[in-house]
Amino acid sequence: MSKITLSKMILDAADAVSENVDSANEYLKSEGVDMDSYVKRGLKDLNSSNPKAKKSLNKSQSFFHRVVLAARIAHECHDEKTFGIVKFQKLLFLCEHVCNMRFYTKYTKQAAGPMDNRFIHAVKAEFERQGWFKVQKDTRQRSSKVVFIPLEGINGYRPYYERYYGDSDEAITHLIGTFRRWRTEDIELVATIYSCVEEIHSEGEEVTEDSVVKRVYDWHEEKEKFNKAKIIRFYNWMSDTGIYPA
Amino acid sequence: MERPEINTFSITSDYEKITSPKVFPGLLKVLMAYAHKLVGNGTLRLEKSREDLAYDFAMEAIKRHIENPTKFDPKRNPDLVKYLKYNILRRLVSNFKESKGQSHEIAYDPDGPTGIKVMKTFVEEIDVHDAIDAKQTIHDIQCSIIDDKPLLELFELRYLKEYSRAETITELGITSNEYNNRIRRLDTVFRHIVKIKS
Repeated sequence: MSKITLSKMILDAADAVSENVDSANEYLKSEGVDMDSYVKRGLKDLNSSNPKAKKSLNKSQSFFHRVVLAARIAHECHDEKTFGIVKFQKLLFLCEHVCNMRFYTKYTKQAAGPMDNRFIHAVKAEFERQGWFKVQKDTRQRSSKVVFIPLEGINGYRPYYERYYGDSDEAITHLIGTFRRWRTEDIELVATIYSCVEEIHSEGEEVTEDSVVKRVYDWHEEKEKFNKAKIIRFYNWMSDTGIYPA
Repeated sequence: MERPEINTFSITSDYEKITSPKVFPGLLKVLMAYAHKLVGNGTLRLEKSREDLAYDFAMEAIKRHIENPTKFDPKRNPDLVKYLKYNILRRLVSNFKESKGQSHEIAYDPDGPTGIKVMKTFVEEIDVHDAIDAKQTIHDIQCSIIDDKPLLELFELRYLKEYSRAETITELGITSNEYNNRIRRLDTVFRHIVKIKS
């Protein structure tokens, strides 16, 4: 009985110190535990045992995997009014990054956010070669909007997609569904913030609302079209919904 | 109160949720604090430190969930942190303590095929909680808090009259936060007495 009581006291104490992050922090600090090093070690340990880690692809495999993903995005969105080349690029960027896909990419900072120019040019030709899409300027409008016109062989990408993206399909579908009707400018901001946060992480700095706002404005002078409140609102939405760099 | 935002994600896999910088640090702290307290001082006789052991248990709990996410049923209990604490971590620590006599220790090993390695690390197998006289200890705790009415009330309800946590909170008319504060203070008294005895 007395021993049970002592055990119960230990369990209660364990519950109390781990009730929330603040109490856990306070307790571990009082015990002299250096949590920063354990957090770093934990992330490293988890990364090395990531069950989803795939064997790396060579450059041509990587290219074709990306083309298949791009085809999925274009197939799902081609009839949306707001879907043009910029939105296509940003959705591709977000799918690749949110789902931790490890491809050969060459994203650079462009006025409309992160962009892999070389791939975008190559994918248009590959779409036609595969008989999936014709990518051209919209002849019905005076604007320079680019449209994706499905070709007869459009469904040819599906078997590849199922093979390559079976595990990620839920996340990809969710991302496409989320952004399908968004304004191009807004998805451009999401992709830019995402890239800025990744950049801050890679430099080992703390991510704050202010640091994100600064990076967005430093990205390109075009970003001044977004006011600070909007950048912060989008940043918070992203971290709340998980569309946020790991 | 800040909690690891483990339940707010909707699009990424469990691996990605848990390794997110918004979730992982808080989650590891909560699990390590829980394991650290459960492991107790007896493990100071191990070659491995108590915090390293707490880390191993916390990581093992996280890893087991990532490998078998479907065992967590949000319909039954939507709180993943509680699931990790009570369904995985507590069991891991309990099994570990029960198997102490075998002079082996499990450790998280990301490079190994199973993710766990067994090490022979015990120098001697003594747990101070086993070594002390429990009945006398409880008596000593009561004596130590005789003038501390809030602690004494809680001690009597929770441990002598065996009220549940919820019943104790209601009976005392205190918040959950205050209950936790008192439990932590009581634990300090308890540890002090155990230290003297050992």
